[in-house]
Amino acid sequence: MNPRDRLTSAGKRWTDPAEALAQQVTERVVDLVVGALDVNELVARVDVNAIISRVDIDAVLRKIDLNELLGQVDVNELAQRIDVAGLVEKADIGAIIAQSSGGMAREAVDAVRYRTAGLDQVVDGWVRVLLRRKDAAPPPLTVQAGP
Amino acid sequence: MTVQPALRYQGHYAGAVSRLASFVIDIVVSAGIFCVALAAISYGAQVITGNLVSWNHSTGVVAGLFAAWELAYFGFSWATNGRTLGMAVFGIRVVRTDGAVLEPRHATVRALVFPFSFLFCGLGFLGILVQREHRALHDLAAGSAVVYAWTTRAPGSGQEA
Repeated sequence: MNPRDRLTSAGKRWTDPAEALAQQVTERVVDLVVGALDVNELVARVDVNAIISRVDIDAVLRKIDLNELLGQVDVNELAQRIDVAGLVEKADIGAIIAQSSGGMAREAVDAVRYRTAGLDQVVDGWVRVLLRRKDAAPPPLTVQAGP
Repeated sequence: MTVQPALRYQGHYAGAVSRLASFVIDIVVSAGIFCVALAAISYGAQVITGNLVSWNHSTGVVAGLFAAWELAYFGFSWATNGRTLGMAVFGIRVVRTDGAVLEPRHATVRALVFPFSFLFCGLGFLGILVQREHRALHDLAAGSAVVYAWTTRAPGSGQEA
């Protein structure tokens, strides 16, 4: 054995136990520090809004390749996982259709009434011009609720 | 802030277009019901007697029945609801000149005078165009007026239309 190897071997006899000791001490210190920390208080001190305001969401979004992301999604498998029959069973489709179609019919009737009333005003305007009527239209009646 | 059209027109006197359109609907519906009723009576008579029964339109019986039916259709509708089916579609209603609900006797007078408005090329209807409150001959006779009376409903609210 040459003198250099002997020196290295002697060094390792000292450094290996020292390294193991240092690692044990570090782990113990970390355990003590973590145990002493009140995480809730620490989180409470963090101003999340300030952190979020610093993040450039647009820049992050620009980096995301949505096409590539969507390309990795197996839509067919996803669709197969959806319990359509269960969803239909839970949803009252009849009531939804009745509500939406009823709303559409009501809007259509209101539109017809509004347009017809507008035409009434147009015709009334022509008559007023023809008759050279200057007086204002009569005030509306206070209609009692019907039977 | 925009005012809902329904609220803007509420209580104002209905004009010629609304009233003519509602009348057209009423005539089509009432004539349709009348024709179906005649056909049903013919069919029933045919089943009972075993003979083919047809209406002779030249005798005036059908015309008389039709006039009576129209009188009943309009008179009953005005007396019970203040509006016919056509008027309900266009959101208009017959009321007293003070806005009160039309009583049956006024509705009857209105229905009886209504045919006379057709005389002389519909001269009785001229008031709808030229009169300030758009009142026709039958309105003047019955002390009635036709006004817009519809309000919009929120879907599912159950409020009166």
